Amino acid sequence: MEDLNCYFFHMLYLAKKVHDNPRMKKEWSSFDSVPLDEDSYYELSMELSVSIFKDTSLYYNEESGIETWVLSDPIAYRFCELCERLEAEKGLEEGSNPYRRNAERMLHERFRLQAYNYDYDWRLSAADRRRKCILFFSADEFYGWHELPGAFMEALDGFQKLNRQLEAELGLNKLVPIYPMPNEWKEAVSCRTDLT
Amino acid sequence: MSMKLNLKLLSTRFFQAKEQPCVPEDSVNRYLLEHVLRPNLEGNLLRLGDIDFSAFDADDVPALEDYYDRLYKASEDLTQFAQTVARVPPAPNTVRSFC
Repeated sequence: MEDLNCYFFHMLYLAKKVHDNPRMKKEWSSFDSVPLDEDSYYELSMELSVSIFKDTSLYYNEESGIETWVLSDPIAYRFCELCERLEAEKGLEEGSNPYRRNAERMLHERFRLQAYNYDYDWRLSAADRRRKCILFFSADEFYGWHELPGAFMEALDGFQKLNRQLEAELGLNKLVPIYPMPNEWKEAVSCRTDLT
Repeated sequence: MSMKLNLKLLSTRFFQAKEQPCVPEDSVNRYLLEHVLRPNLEGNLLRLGDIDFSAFDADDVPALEDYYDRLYKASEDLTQFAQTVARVPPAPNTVRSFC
């Protein structure tokens, strides 16, 4: 019997998680030709890792052997914007903003990888200059590439969830119809109301 | 050390055994089993574009891996048994067993 490496199943699991993530729908078709085998697992992990955040830049320091990933995304920007708005409205310090503390806790959880030789940080404070971002540092011996797509996806999902909570607290997430309702639908709704 | 195998008894036991998969397939997603795992076990390489991701849940994948591990173990046990049988040298009967 063919000896399938555990990577076969890990790759299938990763592909399923990414495929089901609404943010990755557009990009997914570009992975159609990737074979489901051990050799492609690393390639897929790397490709996905740099595709999840809208803007990902990598810098390698030859002296230290450390690679720095700068991950930024409109969702993280939105989180900073909403936090600043909440702090202004409620007169809160950044340190006492519960959403910032939740974001930190969420990032600690998401970046708890099985591999070692890595670190992470974030620049989400109003005092941080340049772009707001998440930073990920990997040393030469880092081997947990396959864990990164999941961690990055869940981090963004975490920010999205916090954004929804912040918007609710700020009274911003009122339901607004995206498309005008056709007249036939309006009639159907009124008939239905009449029946009840 | 010599070993004796009663092939007649062995064939009787095989004949009496119920026809069923050597590893239960109840907990395995049918699509994953038939369209993902089997083609790979037969040496057919799949690409991600070939997979219908709406046909299974993420949790079905660890269940498939668990099924595969048990299937592989059963396959190894069978191979080991076949090797053991193959290693036993044939011995002639001391008395004539047919007319």
